Amino acid sequence: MMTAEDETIREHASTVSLNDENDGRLTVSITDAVSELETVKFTIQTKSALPSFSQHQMSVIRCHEEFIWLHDMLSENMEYAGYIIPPAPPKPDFEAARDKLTRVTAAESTMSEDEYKKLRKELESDYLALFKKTVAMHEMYLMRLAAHSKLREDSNFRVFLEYAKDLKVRTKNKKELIGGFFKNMTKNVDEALLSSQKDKDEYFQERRAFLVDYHNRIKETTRKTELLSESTNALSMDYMQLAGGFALLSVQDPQLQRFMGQCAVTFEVMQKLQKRVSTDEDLKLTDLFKYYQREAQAAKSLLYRRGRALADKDIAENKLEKAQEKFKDIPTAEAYLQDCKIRFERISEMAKTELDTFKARRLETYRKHLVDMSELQIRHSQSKVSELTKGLELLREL
Amino acid sequence: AEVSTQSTGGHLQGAIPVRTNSDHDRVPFNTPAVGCALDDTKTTALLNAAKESAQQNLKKSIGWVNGDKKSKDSACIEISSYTRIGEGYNSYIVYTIQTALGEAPKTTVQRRFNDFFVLHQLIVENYLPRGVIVPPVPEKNFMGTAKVRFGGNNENIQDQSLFIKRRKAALERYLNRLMAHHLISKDETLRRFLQEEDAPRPNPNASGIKGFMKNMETMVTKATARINEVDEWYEDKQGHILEMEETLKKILAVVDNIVADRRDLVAKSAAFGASCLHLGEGEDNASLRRAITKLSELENNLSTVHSEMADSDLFVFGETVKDYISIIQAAKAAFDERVKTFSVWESSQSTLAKKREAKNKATLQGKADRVAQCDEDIRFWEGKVEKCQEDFEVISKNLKEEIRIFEEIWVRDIKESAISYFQKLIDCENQIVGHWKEFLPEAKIIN
Repeated sequence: MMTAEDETIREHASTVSLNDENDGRLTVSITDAVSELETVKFTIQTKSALPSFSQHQMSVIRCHEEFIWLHDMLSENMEYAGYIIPPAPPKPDFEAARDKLTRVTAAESTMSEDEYKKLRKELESDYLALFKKTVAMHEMYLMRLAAHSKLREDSNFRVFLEYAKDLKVRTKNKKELIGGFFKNMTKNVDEALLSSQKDKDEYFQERRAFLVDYHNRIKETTRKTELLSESTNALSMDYMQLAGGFALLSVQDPQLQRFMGQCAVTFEVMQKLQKRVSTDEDLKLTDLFKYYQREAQAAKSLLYRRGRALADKDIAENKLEKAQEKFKDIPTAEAYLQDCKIRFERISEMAKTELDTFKARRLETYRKHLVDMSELQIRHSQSKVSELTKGLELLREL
Repeated sequence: AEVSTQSTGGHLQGAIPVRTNSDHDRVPFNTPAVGCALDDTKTTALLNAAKESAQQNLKKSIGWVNGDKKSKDSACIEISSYTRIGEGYNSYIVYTIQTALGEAPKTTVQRRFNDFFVLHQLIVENYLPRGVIVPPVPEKNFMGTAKVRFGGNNENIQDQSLFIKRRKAALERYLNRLMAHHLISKDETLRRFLQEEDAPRPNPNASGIKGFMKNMETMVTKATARINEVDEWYEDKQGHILEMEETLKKILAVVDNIVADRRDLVAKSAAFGASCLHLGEGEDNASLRRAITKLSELENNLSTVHSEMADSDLFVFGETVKDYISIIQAAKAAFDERVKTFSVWESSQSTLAKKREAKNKATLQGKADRVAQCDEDIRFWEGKVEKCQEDFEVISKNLKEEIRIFEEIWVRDIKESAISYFQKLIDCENQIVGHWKEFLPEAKIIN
């Protein structure tokens, strides 16, 4: 049964990554998900018209770690150096929600049965919403890959979608994690060096400056949006408790029975509406910024790879010069330089296309989300007004 | 003090029909508080609206209690302003009270908080023994007062200002409640408080050893008495009132939470707005930059609305709940007073019985002059018992009436308060709709 929240989340999944080239030849969707202890298992259904696939329709079960494996495979593939590698979906994290639920269960004796039931229901629906969100994020990641004309041809992607059995992907062991850590460290150092790199190409010079700066700004905004969302959510619980207080008065005081009864009813609706305000704020605003923070990072990575390629080319040129001076190993050096040049030009060409589509995609997504957000908030506030007005009219008669 | 003659503003459009009493001069109620260190117009407006609403309600109560709609004793009491006297530790706030009693000319007096406190003690001494539910005086608040005394002119100015405003509004409600009571309104001490230059002085017996002993007696009597009720009404009512107190305390706690969460929302929306401004500056597309900047403006506007809502939570609804929790304390005191009266009656009955026994003993022993003495004692104690019984019946009757009045006024007040609260929420949500509608076209033209 689809609720309003379900629709919003599904819609969200399909719009944050506006499919630029999905010609229907590969469609992927997550049809089911099960939460098991520490992991979530996603059921992924694929319909493929691509020749590389062995069947037209298939269904597999994957867990989050397997998504990370796929992402790592794509990131490390030198062929894709010129693409923005779609950012991996965030790890499902139900710890906070679980904590809240256990705390409330423990405090059951301190509140009335009614209160406890309502609170539990509230927290369970929060848990469910979180769950749906993680499903949507994972689905969106796959859809983005399926829409990319080159990445969808990737063999690892095909294996991910096709291979019936467990991929037996182990999470990185300690050695690999530390290795990854050092890799990031050097990457940061390189990034710093490259940001001072002189690039003759104005387009890339400008793009790099923009992305580095934008990434920093959006990180801050994302944090502030998360805080705002939490705050908006807190208010809905308050309304619920106020409704409870009114209900008590209505029961205890016969003269106020109908009046306070009506107040309680109105505030129960206010609670639901406030919840929707908070959910939509979270989906349309917080998630938008979170997603584009990750995308900006991915775009930066692309520019970094190109910068590396440029640095390699420069080094190759130096090497050739030295070889020419010494009349030694000239053909090797020439061949190497040729390789670097080709690589660099290929990456630059791919990057340009990617960055342009990134810009267009971003504009479109921002527009859609901000418009949706405004319309939803207007609708919710108007609902609040009409509910309060209706209540007020009834109250005046009582 | 300046008194502006604005006509009754639109704060409570349609909330209550305003009864105009054309026979008498009416002091306009919506005089903004002057002499405040910080003129926060919105808070003031809310307080004025709440005050106006409360006064309208109380006036209705006066008219109803006195049995006629056009009472000649209609009174308008208003704290028109306040000023700080002195500096630092010895400084204090003085409130200017303007009173118009019926057709008499308006009087103006200056009073500090302690004067109210003394007035309250005198009224309790006089009326509590009669079973009156004495309107509670606003609490002493060490922290708030200290902040006002020591607070410089820079920091905490908002805190100070809010504290003073709340206290001023509470004091005004207090005086109007006194005036609304059919017995207390005629009290001489109250009249002196409102009209004479010097505030009433405390009763010398109340403090010092005598007062202390009296209090001890009260405490002991309270603890031991139990009434065999002929009329279940008293026990029922007392139970009902205790239940009400618990519920109101719960509701107050919720209101405090709402206020705190809304104030948090004020801060978080403003912070988000600021970060949007920063983000917008970093945008490479002109229309997107504009849109994000507009989003920042929107959030700042929303922040202001949330602030208004928080004030409304507190002043329109919260203060009413708080007041009634205190009034319930006064009601509990009245019930306790009745119990005390009963136990005084009981103890005088037992003394009478002892005297009668003593007479029997003396008669048997044939001590004639002792018998005569005992007769005298018996006569005295018979008289006392009769008086105690009378006192008990009077206080029981008064208490029933007081509770009846209390319940009527409570229902009216809380309904009024809830209605005003709804109205304010509607206003604020409409403002929110307006702000989003302003933003929407900006989002649509992103390209």
